[in-house]
Amino acid sequence: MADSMLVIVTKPPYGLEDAFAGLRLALAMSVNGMKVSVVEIEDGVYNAVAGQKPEAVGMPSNVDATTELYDFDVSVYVVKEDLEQRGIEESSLVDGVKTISKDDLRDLLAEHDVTTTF
Amino acid sequence: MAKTMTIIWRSGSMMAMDVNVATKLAAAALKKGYMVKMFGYGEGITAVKKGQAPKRFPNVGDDLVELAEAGAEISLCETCYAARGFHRGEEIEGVKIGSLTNNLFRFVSESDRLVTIAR
Amino acid sequence: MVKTAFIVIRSPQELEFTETIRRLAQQDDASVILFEDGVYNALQKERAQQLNEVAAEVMVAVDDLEARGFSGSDLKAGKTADYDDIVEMIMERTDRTVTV
Repeated sequence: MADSMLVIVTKPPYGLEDAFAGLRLALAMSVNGMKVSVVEIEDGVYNAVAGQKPEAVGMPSNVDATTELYDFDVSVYVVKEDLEQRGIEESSLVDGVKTISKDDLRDLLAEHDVTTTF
Repeated sequence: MAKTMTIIWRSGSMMAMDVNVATKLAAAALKKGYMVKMFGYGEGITAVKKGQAPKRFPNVGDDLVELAEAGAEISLCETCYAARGFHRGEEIEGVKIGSLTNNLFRFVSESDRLVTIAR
Repeated sequence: MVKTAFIVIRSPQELEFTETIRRLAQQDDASVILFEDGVYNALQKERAQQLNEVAAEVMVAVDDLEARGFSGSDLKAGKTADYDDIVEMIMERTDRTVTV
């Protein structure tokens, strides 16, 4: 029986519903007490860029959907190498997002019973 | 007790063959004696609309009805359902309109494996 | 180590996923299940070679392969599998799935 879930976000914000949907799913699992982590990989790291203005396109905020997770002890990770590849500085990330190396991903996966990908 | 597989599907009823993959996987798991739960999220909810009548393509609505009759527990996200203009009562038999917080949480908690069919 | 079944439903041109698998699991612990256009990954020489490098086992959904005009003898990676085999892989032979 699954007690923990890793939500893997590969899609960038706003062009697609997926990343927001993934963050909401993480919230719904965590409010019930499940141990949940979110890891943003590849284009998913764009969700962690601070200063997003979703109102410019009339979309709900992926930043708010991220920071709301902290109230339920959900860790949100981004992969350092994927940030570098996209020219994103760690200093420009949403507060509270944790940077990990691609070499940490195997351990992170192993710590969770199930995964789902957005 | 038999192990449980939960399948989350997020692709629309006919945008790809994804829902067919989900239903075939569910059918095979049930046949092998596993418990099966399925949850429609995002565009996936379109697969539970009653009265689908594709002329040539497989009818995923009928496939889901058969799965429910065979013992699969099927639910979906009401927020996603309402967002697309669907209303309670428009869904096929055997499907429970639900939520991430209640239904999917319970499905995942009771599952040994979680499979995501989405693109 | 825990074993992971990676699920792929997209073609080689749509998605580069072998590096993702490499990051998430070592080869001995990784299996790949190819559905729909994912089956094309096992037919292309270069991608098939990458698959063989990152995964210990590659399963190709036989319905989807045959629907597209190919058969098991065309595969450059993996073996054909029916839904029974795939369920067995997910439920008994690996510990979790990751859809890429």
